[in-house]
Amino acid sequence: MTISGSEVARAHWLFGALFLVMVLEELGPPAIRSLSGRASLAFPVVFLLAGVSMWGAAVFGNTAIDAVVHSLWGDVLIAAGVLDLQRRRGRLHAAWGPLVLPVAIGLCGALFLAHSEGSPSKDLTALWHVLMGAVLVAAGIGGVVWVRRGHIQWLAAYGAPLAAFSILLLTFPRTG
Amino acid sequence: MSRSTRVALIVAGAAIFVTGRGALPASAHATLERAIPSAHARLDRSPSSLLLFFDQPVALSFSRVTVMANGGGPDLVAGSMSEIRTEVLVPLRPGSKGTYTVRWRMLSAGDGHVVQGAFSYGVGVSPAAPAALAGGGPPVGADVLRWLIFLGLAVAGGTLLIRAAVLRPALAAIIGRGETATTEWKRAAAVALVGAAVALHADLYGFLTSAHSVTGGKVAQFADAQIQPLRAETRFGVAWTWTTFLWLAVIGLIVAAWIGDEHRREVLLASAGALALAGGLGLSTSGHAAAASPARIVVDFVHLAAAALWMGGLVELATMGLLVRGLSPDVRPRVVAACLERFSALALWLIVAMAGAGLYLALVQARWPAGFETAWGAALITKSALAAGAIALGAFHRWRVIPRIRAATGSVRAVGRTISLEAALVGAALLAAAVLTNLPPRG
Amino acid sequence: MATSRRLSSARSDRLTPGRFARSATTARLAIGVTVTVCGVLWILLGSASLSWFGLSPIGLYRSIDQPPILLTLVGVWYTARGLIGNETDEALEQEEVEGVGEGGGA
Repeated sequence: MTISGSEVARAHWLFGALFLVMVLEELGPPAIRSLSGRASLAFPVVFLLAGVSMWGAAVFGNTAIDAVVHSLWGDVLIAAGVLDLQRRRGRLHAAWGPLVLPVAIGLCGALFLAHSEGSPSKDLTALWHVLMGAVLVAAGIGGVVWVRRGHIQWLAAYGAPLAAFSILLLTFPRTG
Repeated sequence: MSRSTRVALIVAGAAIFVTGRGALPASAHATLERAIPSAHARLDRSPSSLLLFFDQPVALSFSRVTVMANGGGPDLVAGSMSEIRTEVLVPLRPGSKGTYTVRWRMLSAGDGHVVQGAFSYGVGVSPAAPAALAGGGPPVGADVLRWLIFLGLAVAGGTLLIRAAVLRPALAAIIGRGETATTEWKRAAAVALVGAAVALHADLYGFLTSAHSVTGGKVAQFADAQIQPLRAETRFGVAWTWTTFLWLAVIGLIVAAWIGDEHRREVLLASAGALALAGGLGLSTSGHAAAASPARIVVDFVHLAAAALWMGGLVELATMGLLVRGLSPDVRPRVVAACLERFSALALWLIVAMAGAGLYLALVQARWPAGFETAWGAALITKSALAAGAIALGAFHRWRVIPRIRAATGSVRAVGRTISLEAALVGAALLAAAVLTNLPPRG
Repeated sequence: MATSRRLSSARSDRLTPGRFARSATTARLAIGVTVTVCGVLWILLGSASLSWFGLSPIGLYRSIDQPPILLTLVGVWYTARGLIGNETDEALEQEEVEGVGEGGGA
């Protein structure tokens, strides 16, 4: 009926490595490319498909709260993926377009914090979820600042927490 | 294929693989890993005890297990539970042939959270689904959620299919392809997307509401209820599983129509409509008809699909008013009349199918005239009256309004209002239908 | 407004196309090597906890799906990206400069 702690950890590690690849590809040098119309479509496409996967996780989740939180996550990721995809393809010209991904990342962080249960001081898994939620919220805020300010030095405020999130996924504790 | 796209596909494939393997639980609560007898087991004789295997220790002093026959009867739990590490032993009295629902509520010894769940097993029979708790009918929320699913079905499936079969041919014949036609698909796609999103979420919360009626307990505690046995082993759970992915596919097709090129757009939108309508099968397989026979499921689906197409067509016609405002005054009445005529011709057959299937289902599901005295009968009468009102308005459109518009003596704006009224009546009939599906036909 | 501010600051941060591409490559190599070194150190320090699961496809997947190895692989990939991607970057950068000059961009 349930998934072992080992499989859960393994899934986190693999996704962490792949997310680090994505962050380096998207925000690594030359970062200037991500501001132009030639931006890579990797981020929004992965957001879109991760959103569909989240709905799958909602269906096959263990508890009722798993279903609700994963479905909200899926909604955020799908909406952000579609909107950002259209923006990068030059079909969405709204001034708020570049803010979609950072805001979505921040919302995902908030959902992580809402999803984590148990005591972080006693349960390593709960602690990791709190940390992942916190860095995603920080990344969301940093991303909004980077988009609004436009200076390349603010990129670190966006990219560093995202890289930290990848490392947290890579170091997710194995239980059971 | 560019490097970025390759990277995206690899990452996406891995993301689907790792997350599709199952939810990644963030909680540290005790989880029921297996039971003896297991969920959905069929036993030759009544067990003398129940064994529950958790992944963590539980605090028995604050925990409770009940085992009761689905048809009613005493709790079979005899005496106190005992625990060895993470295994809980529940002594049982002998029971007779039938389906038994096990309801368990445990306090996780580690973090103090309450977890709960339910499953069923059969003695001498293949077990039915776990029974809902007696003493309380479905909450009002369940009716509203079912209604939202019906509306989503109509708005997503009905509008896109009627658009493909009726509106587009009428528009193309009169105004051809151009800017207005280009704008028209965005309106239809937006309406259908809203309908599909509403249905997807109403389906989720409808399943959780049904699951709560089985496990019982306070809503706050239900957050930690284990829903997997109910998802995998009940009709409403299996139907929800399939319809979730179906609605995601519908949304995906509509999004693909938006972001893709225009050559495939109409095919994608029509496919989304057809798939959305197929979602009605999920409702038919988890409703009253499913308890009887596959033939009745088909009739139920015909009834539902016809109603969805009728409602969807009315919504499409009502929102079409936004489109015709941009047309020249001499073209506007021709477009409206052509669309109304085509839809009216189709609607006549839809109503015949819907009424015929509905009459059959009403006759076989209830005992008459006793059925008039039940809540189900009252809901059926209400629904029929509302549908009759909508049919009467439809007849008025067909035989009075269309000729006036053709003769340029009728108001296009007034037609929009009466079509909206007809759609509202059908929508109200769908609400009555939602209440109907949550009531037992025989009282 | 945000877009025009971004583009103007982008211009002020920009070097000539060729020099910018070389700067980007150097940065990419530096990041890649750093990540690779961290991964290798992690393997050496945590070698006791690493397991080998055999040569079957599942075994290979499980063997690779261990954090120190995954991190090292990411580092190696990014270093290779820095070494191989130089020419592509220069061509793309040249196109971007021409595009920005004509008022293009997001």
